[in-house]
Amino acid sequence: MTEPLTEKLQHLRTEAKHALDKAADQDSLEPWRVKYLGRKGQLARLIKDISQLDAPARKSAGQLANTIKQELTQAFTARAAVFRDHHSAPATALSGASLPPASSVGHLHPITLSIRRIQHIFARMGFIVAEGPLVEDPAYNFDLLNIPLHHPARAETDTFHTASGSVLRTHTSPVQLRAVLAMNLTPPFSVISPGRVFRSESTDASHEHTFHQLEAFMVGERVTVADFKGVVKKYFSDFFEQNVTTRLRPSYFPFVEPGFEVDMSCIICQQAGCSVCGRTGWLEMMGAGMVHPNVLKNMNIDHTRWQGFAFGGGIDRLAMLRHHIDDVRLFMSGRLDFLNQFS
Amino acid sequence: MKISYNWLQELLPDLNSAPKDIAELLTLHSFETEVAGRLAVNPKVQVRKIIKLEPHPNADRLQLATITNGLEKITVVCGAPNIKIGQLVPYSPPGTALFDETGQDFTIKETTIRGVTSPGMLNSLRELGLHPEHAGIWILPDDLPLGTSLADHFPADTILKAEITPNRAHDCLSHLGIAREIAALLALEVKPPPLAELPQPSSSINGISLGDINIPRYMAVGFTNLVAKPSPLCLQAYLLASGAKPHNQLVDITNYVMYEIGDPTHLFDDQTLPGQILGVRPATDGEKITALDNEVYQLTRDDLVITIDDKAVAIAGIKGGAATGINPSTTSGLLESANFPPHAIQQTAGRLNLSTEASYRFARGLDPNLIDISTRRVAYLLLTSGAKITGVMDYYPKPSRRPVIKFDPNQVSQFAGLNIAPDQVKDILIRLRCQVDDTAHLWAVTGPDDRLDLNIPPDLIEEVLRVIGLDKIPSRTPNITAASRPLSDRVQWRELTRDLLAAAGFTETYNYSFSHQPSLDLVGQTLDKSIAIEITNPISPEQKYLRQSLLPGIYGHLLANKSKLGKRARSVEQAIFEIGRIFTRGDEGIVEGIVEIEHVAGISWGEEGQAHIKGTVDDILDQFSISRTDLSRFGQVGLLDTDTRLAQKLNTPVAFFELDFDRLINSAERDPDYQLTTGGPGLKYQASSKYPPVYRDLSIIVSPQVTIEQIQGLIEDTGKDLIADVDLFDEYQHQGQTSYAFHLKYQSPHRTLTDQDIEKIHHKIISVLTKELNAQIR
Repeated sequence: MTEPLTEKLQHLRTEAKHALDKAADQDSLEPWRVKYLGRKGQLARLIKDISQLDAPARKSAGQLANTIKQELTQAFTARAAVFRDHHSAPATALSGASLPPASSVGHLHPITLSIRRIQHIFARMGFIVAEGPLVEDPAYNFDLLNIPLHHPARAETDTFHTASGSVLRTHTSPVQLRAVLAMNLTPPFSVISPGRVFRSESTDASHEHTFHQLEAFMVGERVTVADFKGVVKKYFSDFFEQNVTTRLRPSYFPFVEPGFEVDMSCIICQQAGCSVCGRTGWLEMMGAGMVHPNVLKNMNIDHTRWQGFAFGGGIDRLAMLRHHIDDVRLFMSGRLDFLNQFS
Repeated sequence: MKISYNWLQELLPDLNSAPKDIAELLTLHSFETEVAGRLAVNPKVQVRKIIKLEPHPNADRLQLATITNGLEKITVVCGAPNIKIGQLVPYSPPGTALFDETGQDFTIKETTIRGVTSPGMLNSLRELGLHPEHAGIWILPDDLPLGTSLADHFPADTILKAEITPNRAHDCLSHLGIAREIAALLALEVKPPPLAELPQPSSSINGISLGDINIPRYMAVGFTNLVAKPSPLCLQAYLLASGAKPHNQLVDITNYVMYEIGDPTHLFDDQTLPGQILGVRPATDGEKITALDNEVYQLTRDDLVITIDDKAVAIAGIKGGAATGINPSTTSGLLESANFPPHAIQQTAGRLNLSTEASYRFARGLDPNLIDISTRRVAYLLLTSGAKITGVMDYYPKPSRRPVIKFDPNQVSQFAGLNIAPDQVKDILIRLRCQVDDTAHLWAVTGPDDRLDLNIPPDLIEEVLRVIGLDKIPSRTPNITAASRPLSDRVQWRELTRDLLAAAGFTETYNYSFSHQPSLDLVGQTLDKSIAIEITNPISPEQKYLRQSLLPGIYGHLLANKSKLGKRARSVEQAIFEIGRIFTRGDEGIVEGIVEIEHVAGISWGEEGQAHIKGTVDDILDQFSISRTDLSRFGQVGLLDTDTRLAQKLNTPVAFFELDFDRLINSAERDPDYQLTTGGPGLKYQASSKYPPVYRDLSIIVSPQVTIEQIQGLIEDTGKDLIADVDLFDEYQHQGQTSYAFHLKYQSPHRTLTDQDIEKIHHKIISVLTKELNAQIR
């Protein structure tokens, strides 16, 4: 009797991993990929056999197959990255090894990679990820965030408007409301929301009209400024893999009170002073504060019982600092000599 | 806002801190402040009197001005139209450093202008580096001692620049406000500016007609015995430090008080007013007014005007009218000191593109009680100059009061995560000029009149924490309990799909959410206008709608890279994908009238592109455990029209797919199982050279044992950073030997390479290959 499919899958996983470990160089990777992960490869053949099984067995075999597929894919990507790391020249510079394989490994966008990194850091601190619409109701982008129509902060925002009266969201803060109301969240909760935002501005090396922000908010019985400081310190230290210092300064945003700006010690010059930090030794990273009672009320949360912090910061900025990218317009440029460099 | 350090010292006699310490103090406790520069007059500049003027013999627009320092006289050439005999003016002798229109300094020499030698010159504010004004000579007040150095009467000052946040615009757009802030932070005393006592309001002054406009307060004071002459130098110095141009003491006093107290006032020339009854009303559509800047403004019913006998004499809260402004012969005036609805002022200033220091303050909201102080301050200064008050009117139907805030001081510690004793809380609030009634457990706290931002307990908590210093709050290490299910199905599926596509050789790109007409044209797509979402203020006319498909953008990106891609025919030249949202009008979305759908799309360009796409799409469907035969439910695959791509000079096929990702997720027959990753190593971006590359071909014959890697390695090692790419485009076996043909891309990161540079390195490479590999060059 032939062995069950699940066992075959396990064997294949082991064999594939061994073979991958033995791959000596970048050129051996493609044949491996074709053999194990390709459309006519060994894993694909086993997956095809899954449809022969009965329903319950199909489900577990399918799950296993997909876990293995994902594992092998990630291992493959990682191995390719290792070879690339050892390559002295920039990733794109030299091609033309043996006559071309069907394809070489593709690359993920540096913002995607930064968001993955951020999600990883925050998940370990107990945060869940929420998402929201890009085209928003002005009530969610402004009014319910305590920015009424006549507020100067509203006049100063360069907002894209649609003909039907909606706006392209100018920050990720609306997701605070969306997440709480749509997911029926009750405190205590910790949520992050990375995503695209829009400001009608002319573009230059440090400004884009389409960019990415990370919103984070944490509400509980005694969530304090001290907790906020701890979360931010861990966030930046983990993201940049260095111990950084942060500095809070008073600032103002209508949806928080007290409001702060958070500066991080410049990781480029270690606070000696450089062009990136404008010779101040500090980098402005995010706006933050304790969630305003009006906003809590709009989330149907009792502000006399619950309190918490919220912050919003640029993700493009983080990626630029991490990867030494000097022009924010590269992220939306589609230039392959840029996109190929980060994974 | 610009802040004069000298002015702060006057308001804070006990201030010991240096300007940069003030900047740091305010930045860490109030708002971002920095030291912006110095304001000083070159000590070589002297005070001289004009005693004679005659036209220049050889130039129409020039004059010869004879000036004296009290002992001797000299004659200089001057082109300014505003000089008169008897005036005191600044004179720079040769050797004085002055400033030109770009702010660059230059040293003046004795020059000959149209045949007349000029030993130095008379100066405008700009030349002295004090203000951009350059239309005429700076006329000095007549009380300055003749022949002295101007710097003796104009103390050097340091200028600070503060970014006042909107919640502090009510009280801190003034030197008094900043001084009070510093006083609260450093426990100093403010020396309040002296104010005049005003006579009781009387009927001898105009009444006011308001209709149903909401004007919180309107105060008017009549003055006689006014003289429109240059202000005392110390007053002019403070105006210049604030970035304002001095005119004459009447206008200057109102501006000075605005920068000092924060409340704008306006002085009309009484005799030019067309009547008696003051009013504030909406303009009529099309109503025109010539303002003090001599521009004609066309108003609408959304704009407010100040009227006399219903005739508009000023754009309320923004700028006075030219016809009723102070002029050199003004002897009596009407001072307006009022409070206007912030939003109306903001809207008008925006619409007319006329933002002034006054409108900036009104638009952010001011305390009507401030009017009392600013009016009495203007009166004090005018009275000091010899003026007399003829009457006072004060329309203030509903005096404004700050709310009483019920405040539990323990909430401060609760918010901060740091223990702060109630005594300390009280002390800080009192230093901030709050009234604190702490008799009950729940305190009753009232903020000062000008602090329009103190309304609820968190406002008070912010005050206490920022005065103590946010750095005093410790950092509490977060409790590391990982979320059990941090990622939704959607997020997991998205990441799994990304990994799948990358493993299949697709590189991820991001495109704008706007559709781009030229890109639509490139792929032969059109937007369905009936469901398109239109942006009313697009970034460009071609990006007026939100995208309905990802393909045009992906194709546009592919084309953008065309020149950089390999020149040989590979089975797959390049594959790009994007996961992102498309937008249409509709009812099924979260936001009314908007439907956002996530799509996944990609392009594969090359001979095998179509197979590549088909295989990848199969893999995607497999991932969701969706049957491959169901493809049409989720999207489409296809080939870009041949004529279309040939038009872009793409000789190999372009295959594409686009799938409705939302639908895939909703139809998935299994659960996703994505494991969070750290997002890869922090690889550093290396910018490609901006200098042009040069391509040379190299064909060599080698024995079959020689590998391509060897050849490539030698080329790279020899060429070092001048070789940007080595691209094999041909290979064949012949008579026991192998022939290889490469495109070599020469490019320097530092400069454009010359032919000689390239010849030199190309020859070196050839000689190395010949020597090391016994290669024959074809």
